[in-house]
Amino acid sequence: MPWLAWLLPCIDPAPGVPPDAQGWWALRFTPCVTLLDEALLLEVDSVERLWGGRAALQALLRNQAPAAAQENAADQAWATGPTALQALALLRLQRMGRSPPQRLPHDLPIATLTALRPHVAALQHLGCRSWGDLRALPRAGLARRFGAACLLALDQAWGDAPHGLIWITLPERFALELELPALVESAPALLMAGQRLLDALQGWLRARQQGVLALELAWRHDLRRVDGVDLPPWQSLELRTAEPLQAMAHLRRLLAERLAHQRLAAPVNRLALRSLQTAPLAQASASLLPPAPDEARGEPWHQLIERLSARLGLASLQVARLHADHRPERMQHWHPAITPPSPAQDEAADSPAGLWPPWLVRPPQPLDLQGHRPCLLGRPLRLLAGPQRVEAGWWEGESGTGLARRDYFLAHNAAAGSVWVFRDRATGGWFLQGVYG
Amino acid sequence: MGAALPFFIDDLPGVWRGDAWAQAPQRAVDTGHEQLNAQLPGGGWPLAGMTELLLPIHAHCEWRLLAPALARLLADSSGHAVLVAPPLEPFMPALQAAGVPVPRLCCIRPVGSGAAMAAAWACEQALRCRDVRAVLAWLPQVATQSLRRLQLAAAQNQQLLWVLRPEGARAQASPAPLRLWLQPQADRLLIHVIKRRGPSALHPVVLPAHAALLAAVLRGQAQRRQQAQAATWGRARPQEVAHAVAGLAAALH
Repeated sequence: MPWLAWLLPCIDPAPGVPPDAQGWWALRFTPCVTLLDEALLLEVDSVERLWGGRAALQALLRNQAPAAAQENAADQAWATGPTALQALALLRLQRMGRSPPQRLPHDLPIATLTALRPHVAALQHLGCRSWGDLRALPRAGLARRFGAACLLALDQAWGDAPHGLIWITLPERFALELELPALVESAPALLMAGQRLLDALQGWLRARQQGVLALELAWRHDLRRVDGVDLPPWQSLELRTAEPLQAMAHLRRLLAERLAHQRLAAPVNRLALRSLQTAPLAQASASLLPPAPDEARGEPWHQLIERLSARLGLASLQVARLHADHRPERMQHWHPAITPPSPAQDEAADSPAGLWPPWLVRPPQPLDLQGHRPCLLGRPLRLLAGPQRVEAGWWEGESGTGLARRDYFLAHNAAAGSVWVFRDRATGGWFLQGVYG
Repeated sequence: MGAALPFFIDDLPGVWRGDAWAQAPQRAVDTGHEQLNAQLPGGGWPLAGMTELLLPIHAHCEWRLLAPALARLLADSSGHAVLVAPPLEPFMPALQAAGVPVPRLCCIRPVGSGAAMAAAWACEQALRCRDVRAVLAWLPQVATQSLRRLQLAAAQNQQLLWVLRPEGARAQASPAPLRLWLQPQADRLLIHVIKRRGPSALHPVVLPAHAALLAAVLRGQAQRRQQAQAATWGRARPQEVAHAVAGLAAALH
């Protein structure tokens, strides 16, 4: 019995949602999936060996069906049959609360075949109650009275005539809209509704064997104007991740962080999710053995960075890039950690770097003078080493703030320890620029 | 006494004799300082647990102690190190000269209200990441409860965690299995081991205050200054003699 029929949880999808979307999740298991009336039909003859037999496949399908999250997996309506129409008829029988007949498909009631439904009353008068009765009638008379479509459907149900079904195919880009059951007024509450869209996205990604790199979550405002200010109908936020993802746990956490910072301008009645960029996903496990427990521990680096950036802000996470310059404040540039500079661009530091302090004071802190001696924390500094003369930045022009003509010294006092100070040769002022500790 | 203990005690995992604390079966990273290794259980910074470093307020001498271990750790593996809420800006060229791979250092600086809480949170998240090799956290105002969480996270994830706190916290109890108190002096750095898994240390570890290269430069400069002063003295003396002779002659007249 190579066909499985599954009752769709809702027959009329929300406007904007393609009806095929209800079957995307099943494409992960078999490429032959189609929608027929109120049911989703799966052809599993060719694939059930790959999933470890029909029983294992059915158990998997029961667990993975989207309705499983809402209701008990045991309550789902599933039926199997040798042809698509028989599986559908058995599903309908099951819905009517009747047990399957002894002889298949002869004893199936007339009303379980869609093509025969308009003629149920007439056929009852003729004394035909089951498919078998109808098939025993002369074909020419049947075709003349009820139309050729009835005969064709009957042949297809028996498997005598080919049944041309249109398989569900995935769209190139993922885009789904969802009408919210109630107006949502706070951004974190959108996450609950967004969960359904994320589940659909996961099904789409799994079937296409891709991972998502960027996606957009948009919501539609219920009001046109608030406090006399015109509102845009749609507002959106964009999520990006460094490596293609198929597991939704990280995306959900990122979305939660982003939504926690988001303020809704007006109540929201509609939610949409679009994939902006996807990439083929390389399957991680090439090993025969399951991964060792310590191998899968924790999240990878880029996920950590993305999550921390989403909560603390982009500017809070930084990595440095070295830059060849003689002015210490320009020797390093800070970049957001989420978009690190390529390491090949790093320029090697000068050889005296071993003499420089590990801490930089930015901007340089002006020092008080006692007589001619600079002092820090109320005590005069003793100059231990120096001067090291730096003259740089003259190419930036006379008025440029980058001009530096300085003498650097290593100084020390008991309160501050060893520090790195310089005397500005233009003004004669002393400044603190580094701390040795 | 040793003979009275059951013989199987030596075979139990995680159990060792108190007099052999230095060879305790504990994963550790070489600190890069011989004297300090000798005082730490396992012979280095413990890999699974928090190390608390207590410093005076204006003494920023942590890199002197930590840079060699950090360089070694990052050179051996392909992970990242995270600096949480550093008090000043780390000067990367100097750290690179000490052998620390700069592109793999990430600075996290939470801002605004609740920055202290956010720093502890970020620290814990970093400990749970599998690509992080070490976390350095400057947490001056951390609650004991957060410290306990951090210690637990570090122990569970087998991560190296240094927490730097002001020396005022010395008297408070702490969940860290290793606590060091740093005391910088003019040309040396005293390290008191306050708490460790072993007997308490009697004497502080003494390290030179500066790295070898810098110390050599300072010594050279001091020598040159002394020589210059001596030379000034040497040149001054004949003049002084001449003055004295002239004064004597004037007195005689």
